[in-house]
Amino acid sequence: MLKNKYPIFMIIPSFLYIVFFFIFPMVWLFVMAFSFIDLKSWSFRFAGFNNFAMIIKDEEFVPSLIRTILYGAYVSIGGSVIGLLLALLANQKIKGIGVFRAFLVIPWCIPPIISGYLWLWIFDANFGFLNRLLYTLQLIKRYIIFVTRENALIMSSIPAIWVQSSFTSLICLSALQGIPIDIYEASEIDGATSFKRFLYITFPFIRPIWALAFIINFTIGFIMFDIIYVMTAGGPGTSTLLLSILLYREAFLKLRIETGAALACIQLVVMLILCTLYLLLLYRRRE
Amino acid sequence: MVEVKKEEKKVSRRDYLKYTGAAIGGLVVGGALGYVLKPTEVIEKTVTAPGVATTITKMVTTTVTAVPTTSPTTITLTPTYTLTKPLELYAWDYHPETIEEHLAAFKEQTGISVKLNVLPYPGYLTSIQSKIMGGIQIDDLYVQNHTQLKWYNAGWLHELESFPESKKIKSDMYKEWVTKYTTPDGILITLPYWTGSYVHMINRRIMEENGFEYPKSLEDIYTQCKKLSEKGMKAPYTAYWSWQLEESVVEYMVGEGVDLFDEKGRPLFEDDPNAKYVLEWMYRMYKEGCTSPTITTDEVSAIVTAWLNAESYICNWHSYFIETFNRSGEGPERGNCVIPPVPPSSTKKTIQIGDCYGMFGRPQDVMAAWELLKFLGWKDRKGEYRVATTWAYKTGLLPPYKDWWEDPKHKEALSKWVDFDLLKTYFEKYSAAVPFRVNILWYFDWVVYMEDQVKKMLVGEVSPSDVLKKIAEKAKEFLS
Repeated sequence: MLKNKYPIFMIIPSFLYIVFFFIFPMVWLFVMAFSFIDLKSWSFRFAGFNNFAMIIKDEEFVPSLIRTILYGAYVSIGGSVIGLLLALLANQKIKGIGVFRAFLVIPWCIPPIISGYLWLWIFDANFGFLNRLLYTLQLIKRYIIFVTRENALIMSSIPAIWVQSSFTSLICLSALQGIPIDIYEASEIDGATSFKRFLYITFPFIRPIWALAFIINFTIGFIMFDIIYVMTAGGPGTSTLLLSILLYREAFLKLRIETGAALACIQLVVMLILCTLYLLLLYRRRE
Repeated sequence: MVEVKKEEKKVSRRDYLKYTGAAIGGLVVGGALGYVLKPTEVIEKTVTAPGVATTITKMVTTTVTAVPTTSPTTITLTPTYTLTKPLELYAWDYHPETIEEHLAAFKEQTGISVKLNVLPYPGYLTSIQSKIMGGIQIDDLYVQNHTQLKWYNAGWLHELESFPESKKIKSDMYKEWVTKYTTPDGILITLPYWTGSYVHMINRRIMEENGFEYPKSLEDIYTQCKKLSEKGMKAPYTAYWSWQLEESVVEYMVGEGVDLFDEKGRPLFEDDPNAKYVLEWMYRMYKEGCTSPTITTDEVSAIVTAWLNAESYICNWHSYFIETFNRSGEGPERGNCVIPPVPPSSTKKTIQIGDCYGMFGRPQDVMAAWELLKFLGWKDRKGEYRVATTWAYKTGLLPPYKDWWEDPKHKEALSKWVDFDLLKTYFEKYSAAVPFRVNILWYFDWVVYMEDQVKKMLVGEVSPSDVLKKIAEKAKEFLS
C-alpha cells in the first residue's frame, strides 16, 4: 500500500502550485468579470454580462480584436518559420556551431520590455541604428520612417518574432537531435535530395513540437503588451491598439477592474477557440 | 487446490488525480460563488465634507500631549507614535538616492524610520494599484495628480483637511494652485511633489540664426517650424503626444480661450471655433512636417535627444525640462534653452502641471504618516522647504509656495539655468488652473477616448469637426 501512495504525495506540491497559481486566478478572473466591484469596501455584486456588454459596445473593441489576431498570426508565422530555419542551421555539424547555438538563446533571455526599447531605437526615424547603418553604407540618402500607420502592426511584431524565433529554434533543435541518423543514411542511399529529406523525414518528426511552438508563439503574440506599450503606445493613430492595451486602459487607467477582467476573459476565450481550431486542422490533416 | 487471489482494489494514479482535482476545484468554485453571492451592502460613494472629523477620531489611536513652550501664544504639540515597524513610502524611480537622503534627514529630525519602496515610473500606476488591491501596507505614496480623486473615492487616500496645518499649507500656496490638491468640495487630499508650467522651450541659437522672434501665437509657431522643416530639420516641433497628448491638447485649448468643461462636467467646446482651430492647427503641424513624424509614438529619450542635438527647435513640455536642456542634458545644444516672455497663445495662458504626495487611506499611524507627508510636501521640522529646495536645485522640479519663490537665495541658485523672474511670472500669472483635470471623476476615462480620436485625426482618419463632435458626445455619455 505504501508503495502506491508515495508517488502521489510527490505530485501533490506541484498540483497545489497549479491550483493556486493557475486555476484559482482563472476562477477569480471570471468572478471579477461577472461582478460590479466597489473598491472602497472591496465588495462584489453580481453583474451578469454587463461588463462584457460594455466592452463589446466600445467602438475600439472589434478593430482591436482583429489587430490582435493579426499580430498573433505575424508572431506565430514569423517566429515559427524563422525559428525552424535557425534550428536547422544550428543542427549542422560544423566548427563553431556551439557558439552559434549559445547566441540563439540571447533574445529569449531578454525581457520583452527591453526588446521593445532595443528595437524602438533600431527603428528610430531620427537617430536609429538601422537608419545610421543604411546611411553610412550609402544605401539611403535620407533617413527613413520605418514605423508608419500602414506598417506599424508588422514592424512592432518584429521584436516579438525575434524573441519567439529564439524560443522556437531551441525547442526544434532538441527535437531535431532526436531524429535517428540511420533514416537519413537510408534516404541518402535512395537518392533523396536535401529538400525531400526535410519534407519527408525531418518535418514529420518535429511537427508535433513545431506545432506546439506555433501555438505558444501565437499565444505570446496575442497577449503581447510590453513591446507595444514601449514601441508605439498603440499608435500611430490606433494602428497598434491591441486588446492588451485596451485591457491596461480599462483596469489601470480607468480603474475599472471588472471590465478589464471581462476583456481578459474574452481574450482567453478567443485564444482558446483559435488554438483549438488550429489543432483540429492539424490533426485532421494527419489523419 | 487452486488458490484464487483476490484482486487488490487499486486506485489508479489518474483516478486519484481526477477526483482530488475535482474536489479542490469544487471547493474553490464553491468558495468563490459563496463569496460573490453573499448579500452585500450597497455602498454609496460619498466625499467627506470639511469639518466632519469622524474618520479621523476613529483612526487616531495615538495620544497627543500639549507641551507649552515659553511663548504664551504658541503651543507645540508633541505627538507620540505607535509604530512597530518603519513607515512604508512608495515612490517612482526618479532619483531614489535623493529620496533616501530626504528620508535620512527626516529620521534625524523626527526619529521615525521610513522604508523606501521604489517602483518603475512607466508601470507605477499598474504596480501601485495592484499592490493596494493586494492589501500590502502603504503609509505614504506618490500620486499622479489625475488619479487622486478616484483614489480618494476608493478609500486609498486619506483626507488631509482635518490636520491642523492644512489651512496654513493651502494659504502658503499660490491661490491658483490650491485646487490641484483638493477635491471639488475643497478638501485637501494631497500635497505637492512637483509643480510646473507647460512651456514652449525654444532653442535660442536656432531662433537667432534664422532671424525669428519669440513666437506669440500658434500661427507663429507653425510659420517658424514650417521654415525649418523646409530647410531639412527633422522634428522642428516636439511634444510628448504619445502618452501625454491630453496635456498638450488642454494647454492649446486653454491658450486659445476654450472652456472645455463647466463645474458640473458639461462639455462646452463642441461648437467653439477656437477648439476647432486648435485641432486643425495640430493636424497642419503634423501633416506638413512641422512636428516629428513619429510624434505620436516618440518616447521621452527621443524627444530630449532631438532637442539637444538640434533636430528640434521647440519642445512643448513640462518646465523642468529647462533644467535638462540647459544644465544636465548631454548634447551640443545644452545651454541654449529659453522660453517666450509670454506663452504663445491668444489668451497668454498656459496650464499648471504636477504630481503629488498622498497619505494612504489606512496608514499604520496617521500622525507619523502626516509628519512624513508634511516633510516631503511642505516644510521640515525646522520650518524650511528642505525637500522642495533640493528638488528644485537638483532637477528643476518646483514648488507652488509663494514664500519659496520670494526667497532670494533660490533666485540666485536657479538663475544659473533659467530666467528665474520669468519662470516666477509663469507660475504667478500665466499658469491657469484646470480643475476639471482633477475634479471630474470620469475625466481620464474620457481622455482615453479623446486621445484615440485626436491620434486618428492626425493620421487623417477623422476630421477635426468630427473629433469635436465625437468627444463631446462621449463626455455627455459619461455625464448621463
